[in-house]
Amino acid sequence: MADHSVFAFEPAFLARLERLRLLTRRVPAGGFKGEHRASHLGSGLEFADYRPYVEGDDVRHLDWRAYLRFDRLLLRMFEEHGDLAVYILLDCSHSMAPTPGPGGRRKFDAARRIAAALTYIALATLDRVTLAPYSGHVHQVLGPLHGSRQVWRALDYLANLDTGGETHLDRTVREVFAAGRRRGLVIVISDLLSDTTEGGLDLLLPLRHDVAVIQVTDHRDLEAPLDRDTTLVDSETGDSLRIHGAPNLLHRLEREAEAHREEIRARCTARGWSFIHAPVEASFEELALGALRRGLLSRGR
Amino acid sequence: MPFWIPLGVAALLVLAIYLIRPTAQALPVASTVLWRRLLAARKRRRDRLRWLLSLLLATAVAGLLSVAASRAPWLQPGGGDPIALAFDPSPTMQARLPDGGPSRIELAAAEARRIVAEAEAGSRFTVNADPAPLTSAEVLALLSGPLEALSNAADTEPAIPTARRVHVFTDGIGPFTPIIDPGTETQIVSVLVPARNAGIVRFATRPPATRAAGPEALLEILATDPADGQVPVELTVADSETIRIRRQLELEPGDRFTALIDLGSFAPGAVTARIETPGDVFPLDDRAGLIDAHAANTRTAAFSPAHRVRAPTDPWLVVVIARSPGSFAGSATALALEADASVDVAAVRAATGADDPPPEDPLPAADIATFHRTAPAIPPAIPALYLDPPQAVAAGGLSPAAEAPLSPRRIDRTQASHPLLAGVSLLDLPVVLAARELGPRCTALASAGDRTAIAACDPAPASGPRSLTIAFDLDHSSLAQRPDLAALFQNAATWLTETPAITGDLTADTGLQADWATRINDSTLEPVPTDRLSDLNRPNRRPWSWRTLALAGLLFASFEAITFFRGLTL
Repeated sequence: MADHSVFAFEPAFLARLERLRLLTRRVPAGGFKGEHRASHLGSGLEFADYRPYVEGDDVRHLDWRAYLRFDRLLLRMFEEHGDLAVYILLDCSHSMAPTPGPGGRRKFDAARRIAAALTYIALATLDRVTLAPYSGHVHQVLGPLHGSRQVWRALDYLANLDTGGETHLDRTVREVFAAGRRRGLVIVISDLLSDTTEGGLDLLLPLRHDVAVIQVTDHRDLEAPLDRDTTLVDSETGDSLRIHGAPNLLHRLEREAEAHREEIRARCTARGWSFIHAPVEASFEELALGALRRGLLSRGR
Repeated sequence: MPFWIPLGVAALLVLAIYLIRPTAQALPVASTVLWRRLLAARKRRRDRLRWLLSLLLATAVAGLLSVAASRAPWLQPGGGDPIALAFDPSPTMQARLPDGGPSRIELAAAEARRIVAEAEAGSRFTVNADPAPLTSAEVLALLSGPLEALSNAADTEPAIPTARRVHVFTDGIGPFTPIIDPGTETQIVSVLVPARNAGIVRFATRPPATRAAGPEALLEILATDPADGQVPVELTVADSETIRIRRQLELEPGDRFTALIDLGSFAPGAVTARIETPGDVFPLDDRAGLIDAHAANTRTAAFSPAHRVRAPTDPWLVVVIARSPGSFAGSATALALEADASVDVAAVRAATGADDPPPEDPLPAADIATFHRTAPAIPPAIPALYLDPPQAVAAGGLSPAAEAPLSPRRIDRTQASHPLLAGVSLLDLPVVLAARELGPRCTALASAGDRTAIAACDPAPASGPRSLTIAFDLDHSSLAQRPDLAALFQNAATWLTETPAITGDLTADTGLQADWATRINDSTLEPVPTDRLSDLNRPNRRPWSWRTLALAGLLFASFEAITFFRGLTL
């Protein structure tokens, strides 16, 4: 039974989403016409610039008037518009909903809301969206979706997702991009609480995609009654870890989580990727503001 | 209760507490990734600490082994210069504190024990002029035992061995001037405590003013009392038969009681004067004795000229007692004495035996008595020069040895720094010597192998005059033909008379003190507080020996190697 309450977007909110669009620095040529300027000049209608003629260029684009004026062969360049391939990798591992009940699914619900909003924005701007929920492996991939009419299909798909299993981002990346896909924007939505996070992100690097990492966190993950010796049981792997209670252990755990986040942020920044921290308490407007700041979204069309 | 019972109970208690410790609660968490990272960070800190400790341990190992291998002197239990302890040997150190307290020498020993106990670890110590270094335990044992070894030394100018610090223990009374290397840190510890004392400071025969007058003895008594009260003194003078004089005196502190005693009625032999004073802390000066040179029918009396009062410009008067005055007249000694302008030979007498009648003419007063091939049974009261004394007689600090055949030798060792040998060259001089034993307070100035050729005796001022013995026949030595003999005689005259005779006839056990020896209250030294007389017999700690350091280094190195190669954490 689909749980659409997670995506109870109001019309005003949807209207605000429609004024946003996803940004990327690389859009490969080809594909459907879209609203994104290509990163190269091609055969569009809008004049962009001149460049010197070189052997092999199409002589139909030579500007003969310029030749008469400057006695040089100059080629006219036109902007090309295309669509953006957007791959949303949504973490559905057990750590996203460690405890049963609505309260225990806060991270997963927040991740689905973010995925839904980004899907809505992408489809509204004629981008092609591929939804790839994953845990230990990739679940059924939806897409590529194209056109705003596919929004409800995507939302219905997201609403039917459930959590379970371990997180293996590296395995997921291999499976999703094994067949070769158009380069585009890869959005990873996860709590990043896995040893495979760095490895999975590293695998994206040679694929030359634009990448945005959205870390969904719940402060309750950093809370635990540690007044005595405790055996921590990992919700994904079932591994146990014995710790001895210490007064400042939780405080140090918070600092460790912050350090972990900063490590991944630094890794992303070094590669020119976007990193957005999304606490479950934050509203989508706050997240969108962060996304705008970090160049994942832009306003207006 | 045996030790293992509480140990076992404690161990069982600890084990029980450990076993009943509550088990850990199980807590499901979304992921343990962050927890593992946190614990890994803690482990990194532990590893860093372990690395640091390991570095310190390795440095300690290297340091310990290096120090141990170097065998630094300060590691040795006797390393470095010793600390010298010099104790005043004067008899006044035997004076006791009032109310039967410790004597000054005991006070000095207690203070020395404190110094030893507080000395740096590994310090060595020397005592008086003995150059043999002692450990703290050895010197504490010495200071805790009978103290005669400290106070019986007769040398008032001991040559203190080279030391980094010298502690001189003295009451400031009596001539005690230890010879200390210049620049050596010296601390003088006074053990003077003013106390009541009355002592005989002079008891001597006096030459009769006229031949008609009988012999007289001069007696002087000096009293001191810190409380400035009257000092009651009971004086008795006795000869060998009975007490001849008994008097009760009341002396003020600082008073000097003087009496002339007519010895005419005394029996021949020794005359003894005694005083008794309530609360007297220093019994050694309560008794004095003399032998009436004129009345005693002894060999000593015959050979004992009276000491004379000599003006500084007068030549020294020498009386010669020779086994054969005729042979002396032409001897090298006689020639050398005649040639010496600073010496006048007052008389030459033949030695007489105990059974011989006393000489008709008494010996004139003289500065030096010279015995040529003879020796008296009792040493004279004036400085004496013994020339080729008989082998079978003790003279001038040389006693007969069991096997003493005469044999030709060559002098191979001299004390060239001694004032007696200034300008005198004796090395390689052929002599004919017998083996003799050297007495205490005597020095072998020249030796040929193990035999003493020339001996000089310098007793404590209260013990008798100096003497010099030339133990070989000068007439059968090439020394007589050399100027060294005249120089030797000149040096001898100067050295022998440097210390004037204090008393007329002084027996060895009178303990008679010179007048300066009882000026107890004249010292300016500060007294030592009596509360320092605590038990300080604890020896100071021993230093780490190089073996201990090496063993510690090896143990550390083994521990370090095990933890390093086994990957164990500290």
